[in-house]
Amino acid sequence: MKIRDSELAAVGVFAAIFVVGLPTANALGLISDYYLNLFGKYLALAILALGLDLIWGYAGILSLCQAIFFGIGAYSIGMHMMLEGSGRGVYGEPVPDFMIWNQVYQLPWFWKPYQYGAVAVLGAILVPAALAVVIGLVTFRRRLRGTYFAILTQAIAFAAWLIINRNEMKLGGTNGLTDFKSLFGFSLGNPRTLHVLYVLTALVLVGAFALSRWLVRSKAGLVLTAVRDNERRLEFLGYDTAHFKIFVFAVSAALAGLSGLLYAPQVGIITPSQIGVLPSLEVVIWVAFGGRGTLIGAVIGAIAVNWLRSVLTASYPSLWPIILGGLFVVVVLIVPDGLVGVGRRLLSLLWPRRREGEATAAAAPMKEHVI
Amino acid sequence: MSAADTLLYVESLFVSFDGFLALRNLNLIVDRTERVRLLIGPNGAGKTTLFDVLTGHVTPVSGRVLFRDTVSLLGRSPHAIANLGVIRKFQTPSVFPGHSVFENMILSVGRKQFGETMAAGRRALHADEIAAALDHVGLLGQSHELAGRLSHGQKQWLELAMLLVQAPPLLLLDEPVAGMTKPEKEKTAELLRTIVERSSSSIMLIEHDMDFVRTIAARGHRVTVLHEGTVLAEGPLERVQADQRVVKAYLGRGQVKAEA
Repeated sequence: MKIRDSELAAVGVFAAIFVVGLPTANALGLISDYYLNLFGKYLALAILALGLDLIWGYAGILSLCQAIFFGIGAYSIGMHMMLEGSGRGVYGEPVPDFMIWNQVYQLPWFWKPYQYGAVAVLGAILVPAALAVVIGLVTFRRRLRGTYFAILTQAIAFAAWLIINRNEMKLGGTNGLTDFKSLFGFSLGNPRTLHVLYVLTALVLVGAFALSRWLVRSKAGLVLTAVRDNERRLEFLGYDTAHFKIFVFAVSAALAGLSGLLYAPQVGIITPSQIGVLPSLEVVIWVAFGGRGTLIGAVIGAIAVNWLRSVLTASYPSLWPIILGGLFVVVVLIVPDGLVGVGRRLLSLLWPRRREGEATAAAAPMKEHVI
Repeated sequence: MSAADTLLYVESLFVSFDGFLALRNLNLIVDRTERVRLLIGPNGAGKTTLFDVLTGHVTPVSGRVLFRDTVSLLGRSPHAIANLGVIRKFQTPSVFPGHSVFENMILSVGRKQFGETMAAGRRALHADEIAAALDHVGLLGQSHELAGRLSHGQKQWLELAMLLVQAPPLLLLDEPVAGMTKPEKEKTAELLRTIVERSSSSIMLIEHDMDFVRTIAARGHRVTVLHEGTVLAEGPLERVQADQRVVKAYLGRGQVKAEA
């Protein structure tokens, strides 16, 4: 119980810092617009990490294609922003500039729905979820599990990366989509727009966190952690585990899409390099570093690793991949429960009585309801 | 043969593992009025394989398995069979060690469909049934404990409670006292007696421990002896033990312990 209280307290502190603290500091001139924007990016990526934590940390299913779902979200809103800016480009044509370079003067059919902001926003969330349901139907229903699922999703990530790199896809090829002018009529060159985007991202993260927290503490959450611990036993209790696995995969994909949706306008560019195998693997490292199977761990991990990347790539760009890999090795070998695990152990060292009733966050749901 | 008023009707069941016949022409009928059926036999007799077929884990080459006269259990997935009310306890205690005792019960009680599970949300439904089942096995005081921290015997009883709370028409128990201490065995025998008294579940029981088998059979329950994948003898324990073929089957495997 004590552990749970301290976790809730940590969540409250986090929310206060990022939702209220940073924007206030920015308004007071204590931190620059650049930094606020940087943290807006991290908070968007934290939503991506939450999604992976649900499926990997709680249900024990390693998905290595989360970046595809993220990419669909980012490209959806990216396409909409490109269309908002079309006619204002260098060539003044009604299609995005990069299409002119490829001698495309008619808007391709699949671009047309993205003229509507609602389609772009809903598509960014629902298309990844639908894709996850399709992948889930062909894998989980056929009892493909464990490593095989991880390898399959990695292959899917690689295929998606190959496809989206092609100019024939009319999605900007290797250059991706960039040079966004405005979002829903608000100029992206105006710091106020980015300021609002930051607050929106922070609030969506809080909402995504609350939703995830409700899910993992519900009866369905118990089923998910039981899938992780002993799936066969669960089947003999009468659960069709495929349904629950497809569901959590779809939720994780929707969160990844939401993450991309909030990421692209703040960063101003989305390219295939953020979609493939490596970016999918990086999410795994964020979650492992922060603490797999704890929601707050996923958020902390995403912010911490990405902040570290910003700091280190500025001074030692070539070292970053080695540091990232090293980080993963350290986490796996020395602190398998990540930063949150380290924090918990420190807490229990300081106040040993807290050890009583200690249980992982994943295993603790519903305690309040007990008889 | 016709099937009428049977709880379980197994006819000419054949199971082959890469050419090895684990079950050969096995026939078995359990009446609806029968509360306990003991399954004994030397190692490799096919007892666990029979359970594997009943729970959809192994697909037989041929044969018929009917539950309650009309419902075929063959070709159904394990979760579908569990939802029909054929529930199994494995040899090793298989509780969810990372969940509390109460959470293990929450997972066991009620309907298991996705929609209903989601609709349950965070409410702890069926709390009274859970409390009653935990009280029955003597674990009510430990409901907050992580299941992984229970003793071996307690885990077995928790699993029994997880099965009981589902009120299954047919309960399959695979060596429920394996690895238990003598007092634990006695408590389990007592538990089975109260289950028969208080619930309407019928129990099929695989057991190697002959003391335990005698305790249960002494209550007038029938014993079926399996040997090399088929039924060797069936009836009250004394008659089965007096059967020369049974004696030979056990002696042939060097298991004198099962003396006639």
